[in-house]
Amino acid sequence: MKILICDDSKAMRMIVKRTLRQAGFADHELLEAEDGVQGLALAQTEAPDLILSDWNMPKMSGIEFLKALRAAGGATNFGFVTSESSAEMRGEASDAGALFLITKPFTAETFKSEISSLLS
Amino acid sequence: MTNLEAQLNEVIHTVWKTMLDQEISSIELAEFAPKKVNDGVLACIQITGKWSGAITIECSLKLAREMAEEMFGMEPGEALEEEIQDAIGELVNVVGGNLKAFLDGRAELSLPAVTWGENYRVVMPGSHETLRMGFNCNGEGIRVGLLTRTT
Repeated sequence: MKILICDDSKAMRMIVKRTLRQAGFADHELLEAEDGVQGLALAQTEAPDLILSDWNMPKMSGIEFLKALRAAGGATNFGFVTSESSAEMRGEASDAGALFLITKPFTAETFKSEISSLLS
Repeated sequence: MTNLEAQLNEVIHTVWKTMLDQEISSIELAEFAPKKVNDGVLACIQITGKWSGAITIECSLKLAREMAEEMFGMEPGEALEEEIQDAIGELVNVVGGNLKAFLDGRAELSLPAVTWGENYRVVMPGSHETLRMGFNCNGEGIRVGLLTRTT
């Protein structure tokens, strides 16, 4: 299965990849994008099974990415991995079609509990 | 210790423990003694809302490099300039996002900015530093500042 990691920080993309391995998802193909524009393009050409996206990014934010994806008919499982987690953001994310919102900093256990059922 | 100070203190300890596997300790700012004035790296992120201001995280280039190498899973001395900037920028982003969760009302978080060198000065017009905290990480100092916008 393919997982697309979208975050403007290369360090955070590295930490997400390491955490996915620690959570037991080492066998999946991992793709990377550094903003929503790249993420949307990769989502359309690579057809990932899961998208893990930051919220606060230049060019196109995570929520804009999700809305654009859904507007184009993309139904890929989508979750946020972000440093912010207000009730308003969780509501907006859910309304736009996100399945979960993981707050940074996170642990492998959090990844496991949110993602396992989606990749089984 | 004010509420905001206690919350920021908790956020800093959690972020360093979770992202860097580092137990850091609070220190008096007098112990934070860079070799030269402002000789190091400073990352900053702004919050705009009912409370508006900025958070700054400052440390030596040596510590910033070590933290970047830990985040990237690199060997000592391997991190490039842009990777150090990326890593410390992400640290202040996570700290800012977590602190924002404690604030009342809707607020917006900016993208992080990073500066380094010698004798730099960070100014946010209309604001002043309302909080300054020191931490010890691996024998190196970290200075965390909170700038509050008043106009």
